[in-house]
Amino acid sequence: MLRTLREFLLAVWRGPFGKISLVVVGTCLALAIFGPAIAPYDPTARTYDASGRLLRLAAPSWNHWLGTTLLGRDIFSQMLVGARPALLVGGLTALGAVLIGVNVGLIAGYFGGRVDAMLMRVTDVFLGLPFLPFIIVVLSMTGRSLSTLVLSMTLVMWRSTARVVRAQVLSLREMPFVAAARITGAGDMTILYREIAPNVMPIALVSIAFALAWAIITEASIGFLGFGDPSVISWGSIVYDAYASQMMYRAPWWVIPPGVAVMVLVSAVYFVGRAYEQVVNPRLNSG
Amino acid sequence: MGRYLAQRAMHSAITLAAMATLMFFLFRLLPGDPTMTVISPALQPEARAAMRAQFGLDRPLFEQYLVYLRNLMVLDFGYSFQTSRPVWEMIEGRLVNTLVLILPSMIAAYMLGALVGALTAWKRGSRAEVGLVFTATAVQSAPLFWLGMLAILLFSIKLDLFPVGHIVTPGRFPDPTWRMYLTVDFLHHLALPFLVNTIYQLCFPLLLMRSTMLSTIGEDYIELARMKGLTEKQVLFNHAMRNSLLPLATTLPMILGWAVAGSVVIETVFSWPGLGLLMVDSVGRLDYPVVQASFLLIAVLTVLGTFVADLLYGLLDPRIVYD
Amino acid sequence: MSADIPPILAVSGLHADYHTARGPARALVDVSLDVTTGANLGVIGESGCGKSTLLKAIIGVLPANARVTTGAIVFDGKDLIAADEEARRRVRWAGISMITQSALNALNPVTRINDQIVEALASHRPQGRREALRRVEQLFEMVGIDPSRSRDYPHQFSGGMRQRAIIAMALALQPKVVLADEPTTALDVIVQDQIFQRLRVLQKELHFSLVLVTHDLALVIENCARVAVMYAGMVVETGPTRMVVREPAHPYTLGLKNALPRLGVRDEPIAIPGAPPDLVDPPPGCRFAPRCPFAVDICRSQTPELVRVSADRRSRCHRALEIDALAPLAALRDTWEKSDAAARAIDQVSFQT
Repeated sequence: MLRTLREFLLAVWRGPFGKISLVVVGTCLALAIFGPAIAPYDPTARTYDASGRLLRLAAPSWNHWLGTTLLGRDIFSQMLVGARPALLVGGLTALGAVLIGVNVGLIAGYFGGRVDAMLMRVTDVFLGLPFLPFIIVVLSMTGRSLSTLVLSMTLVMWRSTARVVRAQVLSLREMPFVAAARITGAGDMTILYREIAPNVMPIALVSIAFALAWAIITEASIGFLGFGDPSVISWGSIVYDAYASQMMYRAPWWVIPPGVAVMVLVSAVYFVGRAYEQVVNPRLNSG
Repeated sequence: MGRYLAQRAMHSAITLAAMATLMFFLFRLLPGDPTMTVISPALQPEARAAMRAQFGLDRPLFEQYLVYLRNLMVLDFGYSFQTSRPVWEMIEGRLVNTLVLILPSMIAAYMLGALVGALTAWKRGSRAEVGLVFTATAVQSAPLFWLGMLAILLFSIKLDLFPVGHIVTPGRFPDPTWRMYLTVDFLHHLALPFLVNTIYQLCFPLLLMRSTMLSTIGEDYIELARMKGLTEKQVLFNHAMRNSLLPLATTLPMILGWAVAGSVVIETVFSWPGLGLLMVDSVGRLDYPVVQASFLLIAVLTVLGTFVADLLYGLLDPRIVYD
Repeated sequence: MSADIPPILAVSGLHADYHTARGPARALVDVSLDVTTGANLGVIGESGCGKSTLLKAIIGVLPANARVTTGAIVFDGKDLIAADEEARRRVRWAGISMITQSALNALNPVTRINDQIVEALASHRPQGRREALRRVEQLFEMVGIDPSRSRDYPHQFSGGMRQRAIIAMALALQPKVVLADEPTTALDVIVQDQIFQRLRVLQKELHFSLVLVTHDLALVIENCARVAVMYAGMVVETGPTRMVVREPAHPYTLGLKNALPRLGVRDEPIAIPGAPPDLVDPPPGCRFAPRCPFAVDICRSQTPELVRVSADRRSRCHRALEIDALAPLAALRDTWEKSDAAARAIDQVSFQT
């Protein structure tokens, strides 16, 4: 496990755009932890200028690096605070989705036959589920909260991991070491989780990276569409506020930073995933 | 081929049935009055009771389920809470609007993505290649709604080249017919959302095509094609690209799913009166019959797309076994 | 052979490098070969000796990380190295074609076989599709495949049929030289035999010269009038096959001959100990010296020239002229197995105990 992690970091470090990607992800992680503590203003408080007037839609300045919103809130502070929901929702969803996906893939691939056929049919159903609309429907029926968001996203995102892992297990189960384990009298579960599962770890890690990227974009999109948790400031909700106030085209500083943040973070996560994928999947080595 | 087709059609039908069932329970097993999502809360109690009987909502859940399925078959989605019109009437036109935006855009994105992806692989190591790969990753990583807003900010507000949103100038076609889609005004409104969606959606096929091409280029049959004295262009298009299209084709259903789902976002940003915008608006208005119907229709589009992609793959790869 | 007929294909002083992370790998060093019309040339050597690189250099499809540094490849009176890309393209397949090593991977899996041949025809001689398809059927008949199967895909063919299809493809434009890179290694002995019989018949009809690259000396003896022995990117010996096999003029050829199973002899064939040298950092002097039981000081410091040892034969060995004296020793197992320093040390240990 630790060795896999070390290999992972090493591969990414050497990969294309590897160093910068790790720095970006690291910075965002730090912001997710310390963001609220280092924010210069309360992100929900109105700010006033020296003469006591509300700072509505102030352009970026020394005091407000990214300007202010229509209600006079400091956008830079909102950005710092917004890193946490992005990574929290993204991280939990990616972990949950990959956990389900790996298990479904392991079981379907290992046992084959009817179990496989059934699980793959279920996977197909989820593959046919329109991603964003489904999450919107679930959120609108069950209430807008971060936990519902994580749950509904997890529910649709495990599907691709399941497919990839299953394909891998199909070839792994024919390997000599599996036969060897069987001869020594190991049971199915032991073989599956002791012998085969460690071999799909690298693929699971790649899946986590791609799921994380998707989840971060989706979280922002949900926020933008106005279905985010109303009590949470996220990068998506910042854009939503700008959009809903119809002031976005008058205040580009309100709209541009959240998108840039998502773009930079998700790009970095993609590059991390791709760098590691090249090590894991030799067919892509030339890429 | 016949059996393969039948099998794929079966799978699609199962997927759709499962989704309809999922929706049925999701909309009915909520806390509170289970009929709240079917009958408009604005109606008088007597009217509610009448409708309850009409929809069979006073019967056991399983019977309700059967009624629900029967109604779906005949496209009877009930009445909108908002307008009291039959839901299907509201949805029909929206469906067309979504398709005229998303379908051409996806076709363009796929073709362009495949072509540019192949060329970047062919010109491996060039500065253009590195730049394209980086840009494609960045665009793919940006939220689509944000790209749309940037495009509006730049092309509509600053440069005043395109309208800010909507499908035609508001009020111009009080009673829209198919003629609306043939006007310059429509094309003018279509241009920006089409461009943004195409550029966003072409990144994935581009990157995938590139990495597939890079492994295809090392294959023996590419070398043989060169030995045969084919021109570089022939080797690229007839062999390397054609073979690399196969893995790309397998992702088509996934991409179509994203595209239809993404229509929710792009339609919201551009106030494009399609299914996605209808769904988002209806969720806001708690107009559940419309939400349900538009969701199911979006799902049908996704599943249909998967089915078509499977057929396409069967045609492209002669090695596929139809069992 | 007859020196007055100019060779159809003459490779002279060819050098080729592979670009590697550690520096250039010298894959071909001063390779010179002549192919005369009607006389097949066998090129023999271990895998990695540069045989395949040589063929790719001749036909002009070296991979992107390889290039010819100096030398000439003269085909039909024109130097291909000096020619522009379009001129080279025109010679490919129409003048020099190739029967590739692995017919399974060499055929495009998603294109009908007849289309793959038609494509080669059409890119050299513009013609109607119907005419081209007729030609494909004719070619199929020629190599012994049922012409009605020409619309099949590669995966519908057996290994032997695929190899025949490749041969049909190679002969489609009636080239003057056909290169064959281990054409039958993937096939069983019976199919292999059928294919070579067919090739010999076709050669009588079509008069092409075959350059057969293989590690199988028996195939060369059967099919080629002349042979070139390659080792570590160099031609170490050339001459008429029969003479080279009977009386090798290079220690490496002597070693190869030992590895050949002999009729009626039960002994295990004697293998050459050691491995071919690193081409990025080859040993000084003769590249074979580290494995050669007869190496002396000069062999380890000076690269030998390809010298004439008799009217028709050349050898790249400092001791080529003493070879008659060395040959009897080379037939002994001990000569090879104990030439290695490590082996010698082990021997001494066992002697003491």
